[in-house]
This record gives sequence, C-alpha cells and structure tokens, in this order.
Amino acid sequence: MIIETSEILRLLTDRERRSEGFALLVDAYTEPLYWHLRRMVVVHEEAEDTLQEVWIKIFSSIESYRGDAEGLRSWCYRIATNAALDRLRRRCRWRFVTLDSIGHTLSKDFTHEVGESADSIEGRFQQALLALPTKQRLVFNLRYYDELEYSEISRITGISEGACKTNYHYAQQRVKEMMTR
Amino acid sequence: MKEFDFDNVGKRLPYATPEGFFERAKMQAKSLDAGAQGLHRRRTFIVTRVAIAAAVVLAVCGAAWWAWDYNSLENRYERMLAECSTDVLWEFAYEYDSDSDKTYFY
Repeated sequence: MIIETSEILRLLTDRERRSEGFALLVDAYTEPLYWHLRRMVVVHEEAEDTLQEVWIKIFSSIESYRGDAEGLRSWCYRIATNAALDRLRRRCRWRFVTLDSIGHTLSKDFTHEVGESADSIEGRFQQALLALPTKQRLVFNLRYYDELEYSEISRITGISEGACKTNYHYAQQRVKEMMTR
Repeated sequence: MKEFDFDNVGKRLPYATPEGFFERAKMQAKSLDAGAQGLHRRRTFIVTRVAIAAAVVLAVCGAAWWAWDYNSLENRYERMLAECSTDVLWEFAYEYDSDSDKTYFY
C-alpha cells in the first residue's frame, strides 16, 4: 500500500497527470474509507453521504497537500474521521445527547440496519463496540479493523500515542467483558 | 467462564451494502474531477470567443475611425496641399467658404 501511495502522490503532484492520480486515489481508498465511516455512523445512507462529503473535501484540498506518501493515507483518514464525528455531533444536537452517549441511539439504528444479524456474534460484537465512548471506539476501529500503527492513529485522531494505546487496551477489556456476559 | 477470543469474530461485519454500490461511489467521486475539467474547458471556450469578438469590434471601430479621420477636412486639405495645383486649391477653398467669404474674396 505504501508503494501504491507513492505512485498516487507522484501523479497527483504532476499537473498533467493529476486526474490519473485522483482516480487511483479513489480506487484505493473508497472501500477502506467507507467501512471506516460505516463503523462510526452505522447507517449505510449516512455513511454514503459522509463519503461523498469526504471526497469533495479531499478533491478540493488535494492541491494543497504537502506531506509525503506515507502521510497521504493518514490525511485521507483524518478527513473521513472528522466528517464522521461532525455527522455524529449533528445527530447529538437533534437528540440532545453527548457524543459519548450517542452509542445508545446508534445501537437502535444498528438493530434496524442489520435485522436478524444483530444476534450473530458479529452483531453482538458491534453492539459491544457501540457501547464504548466514541473516541475509544474510533481508536479501537482504526487499530483492530484498519491495523494502523498507534503513531498513525495519533495523527488521525489528534490523541497522543500513549492515550491511543490506553484507549485501545481499555476498549479491548470492555468488549471482552460484554461478549462473555 | 471462557474468555472471549477476538479471533472468533475476526474482522467480519454484519453490515451489507447495495449491489454495485462501490462502483457507483467510485464513479461519483471521479466525476468531481471530470466536472472540474469540463468547467475549465467551457470557461476557456467562452473567454477565447469573447476575446476574438472584442478584437473584431476594436478592429471595426479602428477602421471606421481611420476612415473618418482620413476623410476629415483638415487631412483632405493637407493631401491637396501636397499633391495639387494652385487652381485646385482655390476651387477647394471656394467650395468650403461661407457665402460672405465668397463675396469678399471672389
């Protein structure tokens, strides 16, 4: 993925081949970003809308990107993460709840989204994650599903590397407790 | 009680996506770039056409001014001074003098 990202960045910085670079970027990151968003916002339509917002933001900012190839993925994930948190915050305002307590609302959406699959082991696992505080869930998702290093998670979330490790550890413990009940 | 093993669930998710969703999402994202290029091409087309039209208008106005200036009384008189005999000059002057001047001079 690093090698592919280098090639993408090389094309993006070449004015005549920027379109080609952007197309490769879209091909490489649409699915990972979608699933990252879906794990945060739960509902497909919300994830779809947020993904469109993310690509618009990436497209309009790509010329001002000054980082290296390794940082390109973090940059895209950071935009997606902020978009997901903004969407959750908007839902919080509608429901008069805090960002950390929106898990209860998302859990209801989850049951509606997956139907009978809510009782499967994957379903119960997701419900356990939705019960976590939002930022803890975010760190867990990036580490567990996207297999990102703590340094990269720190760049994406703005949380210190040490706090990321602590959050992940506590999230693991809580999920284990909920799954063994 | 047996401790939960994360390998039992792995990375499986209970979520589904509509068929063809990712292809459509990618096409939609790529269309942002195509849209921006199309806008740039249309803008270039319009600017070029306006520039050509402005140049034509300037050229027509310039030619009209030049023709008017060439045929102005002063310029015709100057050309006649350079090219013509005294008799022609007198005839030209007679043509443009007022009636009172004609009476006085002629």
